[in-house]
Amino acid sequence: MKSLAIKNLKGKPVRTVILVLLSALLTFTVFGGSMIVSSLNTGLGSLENRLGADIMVVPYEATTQKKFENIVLQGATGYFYMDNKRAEQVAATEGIGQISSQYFLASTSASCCDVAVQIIGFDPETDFTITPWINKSYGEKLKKYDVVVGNELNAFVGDKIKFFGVECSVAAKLERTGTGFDTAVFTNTETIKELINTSVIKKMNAVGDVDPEQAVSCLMINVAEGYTPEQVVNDINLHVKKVKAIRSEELISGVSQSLDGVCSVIGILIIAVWLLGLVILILAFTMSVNERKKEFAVLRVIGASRGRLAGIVLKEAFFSCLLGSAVGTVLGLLIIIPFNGLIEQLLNLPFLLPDVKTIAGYALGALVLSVISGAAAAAISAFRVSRIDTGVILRGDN
Amino acid sequence: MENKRNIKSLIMGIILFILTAGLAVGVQTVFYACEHKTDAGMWMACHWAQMAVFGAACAMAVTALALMIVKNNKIKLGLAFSLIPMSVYTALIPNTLINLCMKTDMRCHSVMKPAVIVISILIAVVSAVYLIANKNEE
Repeated sequence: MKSLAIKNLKGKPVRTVILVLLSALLTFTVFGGSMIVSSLNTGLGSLENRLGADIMVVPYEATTQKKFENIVLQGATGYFYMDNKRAEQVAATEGIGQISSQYFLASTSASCCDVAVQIIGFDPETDFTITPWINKSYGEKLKKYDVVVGNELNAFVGDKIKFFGVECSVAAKLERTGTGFDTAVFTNTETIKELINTSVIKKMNAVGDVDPEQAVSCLMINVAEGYTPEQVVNDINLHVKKVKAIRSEELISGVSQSLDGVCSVIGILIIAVWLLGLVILILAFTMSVNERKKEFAVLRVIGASRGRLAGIVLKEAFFSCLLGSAVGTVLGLLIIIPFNGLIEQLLNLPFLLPDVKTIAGYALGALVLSVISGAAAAAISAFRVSRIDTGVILRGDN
Repeated sequence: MENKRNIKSLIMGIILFILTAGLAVGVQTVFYACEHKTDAGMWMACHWAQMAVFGAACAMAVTALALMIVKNNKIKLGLAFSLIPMSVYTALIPNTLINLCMKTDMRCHSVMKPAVIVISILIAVVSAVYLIANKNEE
């Protein structure tokens, strides 16, 4: 009976191809959609981990920059500085548990293969946001001219990279985060101050004359126990001039809202395509059974039971949907995994593929769901086939 | 039966030609590498990877075309077999054999490399299927 179902499928190649394609479309939509939603959620989680501070304090004029959120959240190229005195005033605010300064600088595309990258300097003595991340890939202390590169930079441990003519050595490569920080370069205070100085001397710093010994780009703060971030933010904004304190949650809320929107649209699309596909599958199986009524009636006359007839229809649906689901899953893997960088750019949201086990789970889930849906769509036709009146059909009255 | 086999071989030959020619045309028009030149008038490294892929894809397209024209089955099998190492070589060109740009969010990494790898894998798979389907034919 199994071979009869396969022979039927082989005998009508056009019908089989249409069924396989429909099933492939269903699986691709569910698998691809769930992979994208899952990657976006993983990306947002990764971004929250990367920020790792309750409050960020930046010079007030920086917040008016168009790219401000991208610079602090996504490691986009750009920089701003505030006077050290302001940083000291902020540090004196009540309720601060941990505080660490960071420096931003963007390199220029100097030679044929260089492109502008964001260089972020941190103080290893006080830092609590970047160091835990770097420690996963590099346990040692960064020496002068040592840099740690993001996962998406085409540079590897031991490579030499030049910024403003200063040669730096790649000490480690970080784990992927799915955010713009994957294309950033991290270094200690000593090296970043040297780089800022060189950029000023070579007149390649857009800010102009800036003394790295007297300036910082931003301050990362964790509030002390017994205080809330709101209290500390209000205190800083009220008492320290020319700076702006922002809660990290506030910064992420924009990204989080966009992500919710994209996930909702994808969810609606999955349901719409799924329902449409299911209706088309039901129609396809109904039409296929209708035009083969005589064939089933003959099988019934030569001794096939009603259950066997229904079994043929269900097996045809099973094999065509299994093949289609496999095609859809492979197609999804071939598009989502290699092109994840392009998807991230198009969505402009943090995007981090889940681990292999989760991907395999999604693939298997989509495959099973598609096969069950195909079988369910064919069940109606199978039931009708099992109830056919052979006499009426063979006489040609129906 | 013989006619059916010939049609299958022809269809697979056409698919191979579409894939190889598509790779050659696509790498120059759709999924090309980073397009800008620097002020110094130099191309970035990824441009040379694009040109290498174009050359390899053209050679594969000619091989796929020969696969459809040639009558002798042994020569056909040889041609189909040669497409497998050629497609593996092509897949290795972007960033393994020829370095691409510094940041992996650039076009050469996010568009050209995955497109070349996916199409090359498809060429290798279809060639292998062609070999298996026609291995017993005289």
